[in-house]
Amino acid sequence: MASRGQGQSLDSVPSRLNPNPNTSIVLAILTAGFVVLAYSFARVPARPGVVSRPLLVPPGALAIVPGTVRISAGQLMKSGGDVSGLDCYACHHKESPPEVKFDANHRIVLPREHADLIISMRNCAECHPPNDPVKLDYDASGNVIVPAAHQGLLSMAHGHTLRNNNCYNCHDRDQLDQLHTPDGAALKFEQATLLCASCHGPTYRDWMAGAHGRTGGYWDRKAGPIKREECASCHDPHAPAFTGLIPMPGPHPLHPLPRTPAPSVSNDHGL
Amino acid sequence: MGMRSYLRFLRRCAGVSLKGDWRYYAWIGVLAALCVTGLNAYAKQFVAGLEITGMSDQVSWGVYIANFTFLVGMAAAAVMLVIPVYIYKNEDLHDLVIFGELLAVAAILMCLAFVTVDLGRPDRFWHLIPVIGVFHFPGSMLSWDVLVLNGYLLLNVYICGYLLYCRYQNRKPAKWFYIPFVFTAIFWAISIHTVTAFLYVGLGGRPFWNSSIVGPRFLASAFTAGPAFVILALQVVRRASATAGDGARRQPRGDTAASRRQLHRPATAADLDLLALYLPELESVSPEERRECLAGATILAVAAGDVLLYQGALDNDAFFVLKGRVVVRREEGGRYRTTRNIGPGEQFGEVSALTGTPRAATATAAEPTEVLCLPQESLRSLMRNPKMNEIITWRMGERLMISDRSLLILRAIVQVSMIINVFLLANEIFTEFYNTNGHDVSWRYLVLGLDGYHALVPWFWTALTLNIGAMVILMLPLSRRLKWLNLACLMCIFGIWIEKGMGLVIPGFVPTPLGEMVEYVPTWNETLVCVGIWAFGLLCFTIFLRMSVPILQGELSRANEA
Amino acid sequence: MASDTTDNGMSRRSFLRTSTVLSAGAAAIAAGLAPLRKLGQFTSVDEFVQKYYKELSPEEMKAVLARIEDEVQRQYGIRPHVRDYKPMNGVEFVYALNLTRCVGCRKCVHACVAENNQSRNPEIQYIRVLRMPNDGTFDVDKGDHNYAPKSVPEPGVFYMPVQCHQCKNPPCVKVCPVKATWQEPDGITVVDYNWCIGCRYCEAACPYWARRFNFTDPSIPPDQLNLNMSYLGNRPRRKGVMEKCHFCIQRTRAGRYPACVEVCPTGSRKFGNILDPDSEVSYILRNKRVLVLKAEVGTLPRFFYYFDV
Repeated sequence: MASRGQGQSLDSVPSRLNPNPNTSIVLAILTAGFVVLAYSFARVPARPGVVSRPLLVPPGALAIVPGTVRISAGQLMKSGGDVSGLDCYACHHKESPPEVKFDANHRIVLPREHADLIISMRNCAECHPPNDPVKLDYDASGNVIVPAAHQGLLSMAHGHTLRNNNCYNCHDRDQLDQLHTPDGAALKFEQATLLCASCHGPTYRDWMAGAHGRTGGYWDRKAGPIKREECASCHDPHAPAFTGLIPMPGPHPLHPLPRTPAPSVSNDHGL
Repeated sequence: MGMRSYLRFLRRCAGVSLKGDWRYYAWIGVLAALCVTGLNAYAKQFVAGLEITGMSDQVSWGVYIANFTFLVGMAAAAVMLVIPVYIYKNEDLHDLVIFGELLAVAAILMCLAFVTVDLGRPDRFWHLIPVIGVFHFPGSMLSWDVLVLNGYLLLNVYICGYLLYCRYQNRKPAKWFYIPFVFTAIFWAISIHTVTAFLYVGLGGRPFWNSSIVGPRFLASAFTAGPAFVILALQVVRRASATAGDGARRQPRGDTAASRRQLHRPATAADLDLLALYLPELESVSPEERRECLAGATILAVAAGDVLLYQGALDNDAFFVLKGRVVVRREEGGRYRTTRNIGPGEQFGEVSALTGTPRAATATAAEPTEVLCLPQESLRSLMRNPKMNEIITWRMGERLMISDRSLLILRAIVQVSMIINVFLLANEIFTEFYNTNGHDVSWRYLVLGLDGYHALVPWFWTALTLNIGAMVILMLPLSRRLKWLNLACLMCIFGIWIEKGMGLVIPGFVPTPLGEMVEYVPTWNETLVCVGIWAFGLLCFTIFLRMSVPILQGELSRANEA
Repeated sequence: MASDTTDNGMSRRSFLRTSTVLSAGAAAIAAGLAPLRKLGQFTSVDEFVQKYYKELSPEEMKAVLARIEDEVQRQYGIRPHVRDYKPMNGVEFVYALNLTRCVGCRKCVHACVAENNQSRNPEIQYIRVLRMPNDGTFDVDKGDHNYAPKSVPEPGVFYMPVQCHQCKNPPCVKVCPVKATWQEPDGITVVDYNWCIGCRYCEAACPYWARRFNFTDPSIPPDQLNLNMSYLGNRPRRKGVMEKCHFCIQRTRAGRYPACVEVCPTGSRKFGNILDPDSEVSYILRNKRVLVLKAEVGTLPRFFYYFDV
């Protein structure tokens, strides 16, 4: 037997190659191993580790809520207010009048793109009758003292210097609903943007070019109108700086971040 | 001949791969079980998506691409065996070339598997196929990679297949059918790893990779890890093809059949004609030369089990088999290994006859056998004929001999490559750390940790320790001892695996181009997929060896087709 | 000599043993592949064989769009309108972002998600806002991505939103092995979600970290689905493909502003046709001091940052 196998080729004598009882043991272990594997595959759930994460942003969270006391045309119409007093020609040229529509009650129907137009502050004239200039009090540092009755209605913070906080820089002394530029030109309330422009020239120039302020609608003028905002739509003229916004949620990592390491002392790893 | 004979060759190879001793079964069984586990993990990933890996938009490649990169290097390193043999005519590595190329094939198969598991849409692989898909060539480096990797796979499959099939048929390979491909493969091997380096180097937005030294570093590290792996694999082959049990069958040393001159008679011209049936080159020998050769030649007829020559003996006759079969076995450290299995027309014992060195192995008749026994002078006179000279010399070169000498040649390759690799790394580290140009954040993260994140720091220092440790061992004479050499090789392989994976692919993503710090840790499922692919590759390599070793030893040849 | 019966007996036994192991192995493979039963809608024959976007004829495109509408209806129970908006002649889009005005409120991030039907679990965001220290370094490595104060803006910092810069020389397009992402004539770099193989090479190539991968099946609450969809834009994606900011192609190619521009409460975001000298972006590039992020990588972004003062 011993010499018999040597001359034969490998494949012709299968029995020669596993005469060892070890082979049977190994094959039996392997069979058992495969069966155990099959069983464990069948038991373990097919989709491990899928995390269900809560929605980052609830629906509707993106709606822009005006942050100040200003009232837009849209809001006014929604609350049943009258917009008939609006002077279209504060902005439109008289030579090319806009098409104006009226509803059954002969009230002007404001086009949708003007819904964000700021047309009014609170009606100052209700308390301050015409031709009765409000007497302003100043504190020791020259700041206008806002009367207690106005607390919560007005905050005066226009610019970095106190002299900007004088009501009559912009409002007419006798008729608060009338405006005037520093050089004395009278402006209607709807022309507030021109008033702003009288001091903020470069910003007004950017705004005219579309480079300042919110835009919406159509970039392609052939496809539709662009939606622009007047200064006062975004800025409270009495305190034009943006008030704080609550930031929306940040990144949503695929894998939970293991930890937030303590900030390094120097924080200048690039240098 | 032709298709049918080739199919029979493939069938026999497949048959051989299913047979072995219990160690072989245990080994391929464990690998198969790991493969199946990896397959299961991949099935889960296929269903859930890559979410169940540790990858993210921040670190968008992970251990899959890291292993891919390492294995492209392993595949490229096969040329480190080919170059000395075909360019410098180094005979010591001659037999081992095929093992290197088989390793390349297995490595490329693993590469392709790693790329596939990394794809989000493996079902759309056909988009990558030129003509039917849209192949962005030459614009995308990835399309280059697809081309060079598949080309390299085909080249190596062809070269291995052709050489093994010729060996199986006991036919000399035609130079024009493989030498051009071998040289192409050498350039191709350099290109696969350079192209893989360019995958990274070409990304201008990633300063960590965007460094021209990455290409040379890739080659140096590949030429370290590849031959180191081959050194270990060859020793496994050497051990596995030696069978301890065979020692019991060893016959007590005594007179050989040749020295006893049992059943011998002087050789005649008819014997040479019989030999010429198996050895067509003999036809070119003139009658005059034949007569010269026959002087002193004898025919021995021996029974199965008779020993024709003993390892270590100093006799110097050469033999040609006329009938029957002779097994040549070699003793190495108490184990016996069949080196050849010789049939009619083939020669043995010619090395001692030509060089006067002691017999390198013991030759035993496996069945009733007749051999032509040629004294030294007769063999030399036969070899004055150029065709005979060529065939005899070629056959001498085709022996499967894994000598310690060939391992030491590989050691020299690993040694030099590792020194270059560490030197290049030092260059990179100096450039990044001496200048503080803001390009070094990923390097700082890798080496020192950044802003309290330091997941990769232990990996880097482990790799550095292993690489420098291996370099030191390899530079010392003690690494000429196999135990130390093996230790150094293991250190090289692990060190470079880390250097190219956790040390090269991952830090390129941390921090992100926007400076965000998100770390990467492979998940359990991802690790199982990797283990499965490695097991698959080792399984392929094992089966390739299982098929090719008997062919190289002559145990599996056309002569012994049942 | 061994008899044939012994030999046959041994091979029969060895055959039995071998086949037992092999069948146990086959059972393990079958059980290992069992998770695939839960695969669900991964692809369909039509989807699998669908041609490359640029090779689709108008009729084939129509069929593809109808099929996608069917797919969305099946999945979300509501039928969208999917169109294939083409680039307009004489239009090249450019984006400008005013770093002086941005307050870091992240409304753009979420308006973008809502408009473009990004997955909500996890939420894929095209825009990343960095809170940068006002220390003169302008170094993104110092940016904070996860800032969450009670109120923005905060003192001592500025905010820098980053999204796809729609580069003129886009590295992501260069590296894609199957041309699944390319630059359109109007400057928008788009992805054919049905052609992308998911290799994520573009994600590695992008210097602005602007590309996103669907690591799992996107999940969108059906009531939040935007039904105005485009093939190269906001139609729902599948698992395993890349996506990215496409300047709201379904809006901008219809002449409208992108969602992030419309939602920005401070008007920091400006968008328009650079080939039109009267557009706001032309004005900004003419009159403002603009900069691009990572100019050194040579990608020539169409996304400019500028300051007011």
